[in-house]
Amino acid sequence: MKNTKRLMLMNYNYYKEIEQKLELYAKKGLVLEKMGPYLWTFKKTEPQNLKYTVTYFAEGSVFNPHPTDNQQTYFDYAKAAGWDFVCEYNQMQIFCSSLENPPEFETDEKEKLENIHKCMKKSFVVSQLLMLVVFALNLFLRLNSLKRNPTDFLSSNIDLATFLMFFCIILYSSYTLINYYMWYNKSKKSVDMGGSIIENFNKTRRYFDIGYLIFLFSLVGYMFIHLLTNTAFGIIALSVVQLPLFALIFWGSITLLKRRKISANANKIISISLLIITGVLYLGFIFYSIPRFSFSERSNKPYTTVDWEVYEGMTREYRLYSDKIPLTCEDLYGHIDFEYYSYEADVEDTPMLHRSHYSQTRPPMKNAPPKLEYSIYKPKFEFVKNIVVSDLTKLEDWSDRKLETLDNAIFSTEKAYAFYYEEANEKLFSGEYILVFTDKIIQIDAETSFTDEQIEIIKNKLLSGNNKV
Amino acid sequence: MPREKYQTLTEQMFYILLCLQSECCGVDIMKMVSEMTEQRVTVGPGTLYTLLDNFVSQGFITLTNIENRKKNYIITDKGREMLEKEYIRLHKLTEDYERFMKKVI
Repeated sequence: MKNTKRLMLMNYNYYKEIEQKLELYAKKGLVLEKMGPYLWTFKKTEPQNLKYTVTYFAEGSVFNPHPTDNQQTYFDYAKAAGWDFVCEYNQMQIFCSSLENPPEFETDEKEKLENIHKCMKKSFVVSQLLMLVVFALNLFLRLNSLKRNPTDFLSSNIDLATFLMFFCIILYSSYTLINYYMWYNKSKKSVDMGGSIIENFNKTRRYFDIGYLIFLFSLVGYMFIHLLTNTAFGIIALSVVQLPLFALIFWGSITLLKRRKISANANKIISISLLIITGVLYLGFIFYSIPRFSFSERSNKPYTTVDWEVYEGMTREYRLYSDKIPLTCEDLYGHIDFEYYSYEADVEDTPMLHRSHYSQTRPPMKNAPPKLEYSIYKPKFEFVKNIVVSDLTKLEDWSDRKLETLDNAIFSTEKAYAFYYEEANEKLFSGEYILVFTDKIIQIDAETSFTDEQIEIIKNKLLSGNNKV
Repeated sequence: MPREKYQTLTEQMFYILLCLQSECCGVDIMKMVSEMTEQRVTVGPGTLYTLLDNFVSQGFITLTNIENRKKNYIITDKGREMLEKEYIRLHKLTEDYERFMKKVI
């Protein structure tokens, strides 16, 4: 009869749940054939009453080309007691029996608990700890980036979503480990008093697991959709291909070497090395291809290109966008006879911060016409506003750029600042302003400071009426 | 020196060591224990494997030979000592019980 694959999202230590699920499947006519990390293969048969037992064998490993001698002995004992070996994954071993009342597989609770714990320490605990360390490191790097560029971070959906995802994975891994150790300690106490192992099966945990998975998958889905609408196709292809490619190479290598009867240790070394080499090569490929194929540049907005001579004998291609922006150099300085301006508008809205970034730029040149760059931030919370203001008004140690507080009457602000450099006891304003309003913060960089007339134009273009920006 | 894992023996351990007075394999032990105790005590295959493994590392039993994947074991002097110690302990228990109960009655 035909085989069917089912997704089994079961943690490695949920042996009771697995037994119950397999017995239920057998009653429906689905008998377990093979197991993997997530996809388990079932054979379609007549409904059967089968009993399953999930045990752990310390010597078991995915790298073993065939069961070890000791494992064979273990299978022989099981067979003699009426339990047939079905399949294994790592140390987890599954047996089934068609007897109505098969003898218990484990008859000594203390030994059973110690054996489970020994096997869990070897694989489950190690993998959870590894995951915890890897994601804690990632979270630390994200936190560092939040600390260095809080405004960019808070206005990037991808940054916020990855942060939340790493945080959830860490939380879940810690929960799984704590849950396991609590179960182990409770069971150990009970067993030491002559009792039995505590049932490690409760509905709350199951709901928690399901909730966690739904949340994680929706986050990944959200990030994917976000990437799809905001990023070039190349980047998406690279990020989507990555995980399946790594999994294919790693599991392909293990299976192939197993088929060739290569020893477990050699298999482990070769497969892990291959995975690391693939990772390095992939990273190299990304670094090689991104600048070459302009993967990182957004391509969904119309633009024209111009071949610009940066200096003699050196020509570069520049993209000129023609997005609509609320305030232009022409507004401020009158008509400018120049056809190589690029007008760009980027809007990103996150649950923390709405940021619209506008720029009117041109390729580098001598006696260049003026350029203009400005961002409008709309924080969704008071603390976000404080973070953004303090980030934008931060003075770097390495720069002699200073900050002057302006009269709030000029722009009708809550607070207003202008950056300047000091030269021969004279303040040279750089044309960069930070304007703080009740509901928004505007950062403008115009290269020169504004005249009263220009200030009126800015107020008119960016501030008059709530819907203006 | 590593601490001895077993201070006393459980029923299953006691019967396994008892069976191994003469050389036999794991499958035989499972059958013998059930027969010897008229099904009162049974040793599950998982537990049997773990106990035999632990007994070998504790030096209570030794592997004598392997024929067609069948591993045969026999008790060692140390194992016999342990069994004897357990027998004396159990004997002491029943003696104390009888003496005390007689007084009460």
